[in-house]
Amino acid sequence: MTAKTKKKLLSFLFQLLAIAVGLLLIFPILYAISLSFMKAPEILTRDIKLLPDSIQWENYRKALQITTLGRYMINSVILAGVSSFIRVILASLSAFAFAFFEFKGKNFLFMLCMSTMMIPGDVVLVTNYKTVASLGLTDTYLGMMAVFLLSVLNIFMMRQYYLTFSKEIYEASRIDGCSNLRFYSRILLPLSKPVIATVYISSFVSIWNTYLWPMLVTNDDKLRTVQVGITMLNSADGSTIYGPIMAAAVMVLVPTVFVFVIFQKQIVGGMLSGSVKG
Amino acid sequence: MGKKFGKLEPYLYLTPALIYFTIFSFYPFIKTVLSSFFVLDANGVVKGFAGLDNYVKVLTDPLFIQSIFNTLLYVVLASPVAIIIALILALVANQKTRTSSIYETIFSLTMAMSMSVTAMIFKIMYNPNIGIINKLLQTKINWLNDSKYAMLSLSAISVWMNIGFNFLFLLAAIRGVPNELLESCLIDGATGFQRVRRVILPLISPTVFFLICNSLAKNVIMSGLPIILTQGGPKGSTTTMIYYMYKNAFNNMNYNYAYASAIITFLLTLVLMLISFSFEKKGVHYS
Amino acid sequence: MKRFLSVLTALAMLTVSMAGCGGSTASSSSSEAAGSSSAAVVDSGKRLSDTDVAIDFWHHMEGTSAVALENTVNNFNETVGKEYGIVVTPSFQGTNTAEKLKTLAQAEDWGNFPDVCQVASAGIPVIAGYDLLVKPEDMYAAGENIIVPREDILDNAARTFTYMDELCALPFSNSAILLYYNKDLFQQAGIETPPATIAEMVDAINKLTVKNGDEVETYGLEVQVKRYQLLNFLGGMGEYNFLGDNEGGRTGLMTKTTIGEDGSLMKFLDEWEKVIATGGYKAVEDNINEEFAMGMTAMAIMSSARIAKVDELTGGALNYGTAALPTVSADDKGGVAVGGSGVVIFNKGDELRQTAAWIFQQYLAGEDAQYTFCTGSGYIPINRKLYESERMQTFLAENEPMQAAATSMQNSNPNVQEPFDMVTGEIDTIIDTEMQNFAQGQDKQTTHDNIVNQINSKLAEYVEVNS
Repeated sequence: MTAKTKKKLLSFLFQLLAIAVGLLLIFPILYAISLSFMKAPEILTRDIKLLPDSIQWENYRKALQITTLGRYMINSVILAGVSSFIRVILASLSAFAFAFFEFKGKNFLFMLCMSTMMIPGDVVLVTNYKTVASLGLTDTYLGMMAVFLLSVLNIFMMRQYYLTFSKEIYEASRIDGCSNLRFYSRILLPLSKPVIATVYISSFVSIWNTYLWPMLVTNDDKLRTVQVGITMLNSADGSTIYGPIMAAAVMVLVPTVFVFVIFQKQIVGGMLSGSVKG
Repeated sequence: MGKKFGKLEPYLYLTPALIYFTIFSFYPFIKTVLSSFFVLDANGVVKGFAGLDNYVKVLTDPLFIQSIFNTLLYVVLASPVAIIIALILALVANQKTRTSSIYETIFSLTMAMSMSVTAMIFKIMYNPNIGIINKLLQTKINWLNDSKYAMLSLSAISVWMNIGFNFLFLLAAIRGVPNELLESCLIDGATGFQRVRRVILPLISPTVFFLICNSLAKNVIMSGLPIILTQGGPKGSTTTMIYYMYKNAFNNMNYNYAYASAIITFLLTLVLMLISFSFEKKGVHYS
Repeated sequence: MKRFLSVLTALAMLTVSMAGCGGSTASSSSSEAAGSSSAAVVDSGKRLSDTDVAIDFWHHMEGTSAVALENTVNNFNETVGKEYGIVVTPSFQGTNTAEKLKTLAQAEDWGNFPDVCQVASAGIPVIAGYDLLVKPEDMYAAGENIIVPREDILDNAARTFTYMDELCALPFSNSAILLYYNKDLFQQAGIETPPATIAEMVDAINKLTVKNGDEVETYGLEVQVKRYQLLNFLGGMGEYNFLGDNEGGRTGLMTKTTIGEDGSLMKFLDEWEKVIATGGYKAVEDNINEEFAMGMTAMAIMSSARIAKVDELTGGALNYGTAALPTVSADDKGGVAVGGSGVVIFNKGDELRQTAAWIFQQYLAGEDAQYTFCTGSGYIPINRKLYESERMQTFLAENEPMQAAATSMQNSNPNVQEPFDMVTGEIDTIIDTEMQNFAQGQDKQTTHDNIVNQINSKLAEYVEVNS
């Protein structure tokens, strides 16, 4: 065996192992997919049963029949897609201020912002509902987005990233007569693709998965989101009918995985070269 | 541009965020803080001044004291494990191979699952009689209904859900570490661990710090899993501080207990956060 | 950056335009419906106005029940709705509509209240406090537009939604607690009839339990005794038991529980101790439906609302029956409480809409709606006339598990009700914890005292700030 084939073989084994670990990790998801194809009596068994007897789409048919999942998906895509976009803009601006400027009260303002992360959502629910209702935003997309337009987590993350950004480039661009805003838009943002991608993905997913707020501020069935759709498949008494729910859960997972695949390329492609690092 | 503008500039960039937080976080929260010093009825209407009464009542409620310990236990069980596993996965995924984009996606996928669906899947996997976990482990453990295991079971779900999130951020961070450094440290297996500690960790410390703060805050104010799976039981063993608040506010319409407990939780998180930040200067390397 | 900005603008515009369309969907769809139907229908003389009156109906039905509810509403829109010129738009509002109403009420956002809303019975005292509530009590007294007479509604179902002697809601989706038993396992054990008392149940458990060494393979009985189960056992003792003062919170705030002083709790624990002693009793519900459906438990005690679920789980393959909840002693004849939800209507300042809501509210409790909805969902009808009809009798004859539920509900004393105990969640936790401890060997007196004292102290706390 030459050194080259040995290396190839090792790399092959490494990849195999990585994928195996990955599959083990997402076992609950795979199990959910498997359940979505099972008939009810198949799920109920005293033996270990990992795979359905046959692929049957009955559960998917049922899920789509009981809910208008397609419509809900459009709502959720708008809600999560647009809110996450606004989040990236607002968060990067604030992080820019926190990372590149020295000003009075900086630490205080930063901790003040951080404190929003420690406030439980249930505590502010009623007051926020009141605010949104008094603005006449119930039953609108804007109302659904209202509480998701900014998260201090995103500011924090971007600040962390900007702090590792070389100060020399910033100084140099300032000397070249580049204004701060220009530096932000022309240099900083393009070089922040990996962090923008991670912030976008993470906020998309977390908004995609919210349930209570979008339901509270909308009354119309046409404005329901996917998570509400999944709840609709429960049966009376809150007990679970696994098949259709898992089918819906799998369908709902597809758009998020899609977002993942698209934005993950950015994380891979947007690697910083050593020179940018200080 | 004048010098005055230069001084004002950073505030300008912060204005949208501060206005937003004022409307949707500070204003409602300050209202809550003020309310916590009053007696409120089931409709949230003020009935009289309470002073510190609500706080005294909550702090002398054995269930709330238990919930503080439960919450801390949950944080200790859930936060570090999720970060460590994610770090290992990120190191694995950083090595670019032909299939790396596949397992990158797989590793981060757990974050795509919503809490309610995840809870449902784990509920059937945890079932002592028909659940797959006991079948595979050949055990007879009642994962969710035995007070010895219930909190452990919930934190396992939380670890699972957070691995994807942590992985994603760590991968982005490690990808930012110069390649030469990494390759040399991975090939040299004997001192691999040391190099991870000495080379990679300092370089990704800002992200790790972010993840620690994030998971502290998220886990201290966690309530979703007990709401869906255990209703705080068995025997109060999964009553977290915010579940305690939730139960009082939504099930019992007891806003006196609810608000006081929420603010105590806030203060606890704040303390943990301040402790974390006091390590920032020492442990986090930004350049 | 330019591209960045243009994408942002495009997205922002999209949001605004979608927001506009979102906001107007409700009104546009209902006005469309209004336009088409008013053109098609000849004036029946009953029409409320020239144009159709559109009303919203909030509900919390899920799965197959949601489908049954949609069908019921569609039937209304096509029949009675057409006659009166009413168009109802149903919408799902999460698993607990009362919680959403509560949030709206606290935010004083009365404008977003629906015309008609399905609410769980426990929410009645709070909702009775809303100025907007229009009580069927008053509507029946006024005597206008009555399409379902009050007498048609089962007395006990009506009392479930009665607070301070006033009927606040009309029953709609109701259920009763039942004993489910596996007929095959009963036959194997040589038991002919389901147990009628706890003592008989103990005998049955002993015969039904299958052990493999120390491990139980088939449990005789599975039930986790929480508030719902315990209060049903106690409520039916003797003629009836109010369980708390002020008729269990129905004629005033419930300030204490009476199950300690009247000895009913102790009597129950005496019997239950024997159930625990069998060793074939599973005191923790993991997935009770599934375990019963798999034949891992021979008997289970749960709400009749789960009949449909058990059928769905097994594809109708399980040979099982239902029976009335076993009584604590042989001479108890109170029966069980009516569970589930009713329908309330709100006055939104428009008399036509209020009238429309009143007609729809009655329709839901009427014969046709109850037949369509209950046969499609597994809830138990609350309309007396419907039980006399042939279609219902045929249905019950063909659906044996439903028959026992219907009988149990019809035979129960109206005074047997779940109390309006306000701190329901706390009481549930207290009973659950103590009964678990009891099953694990905690002595009877401690269990008894803990349940009574803790409930009373929680009630006292509530009364202190709410009276």
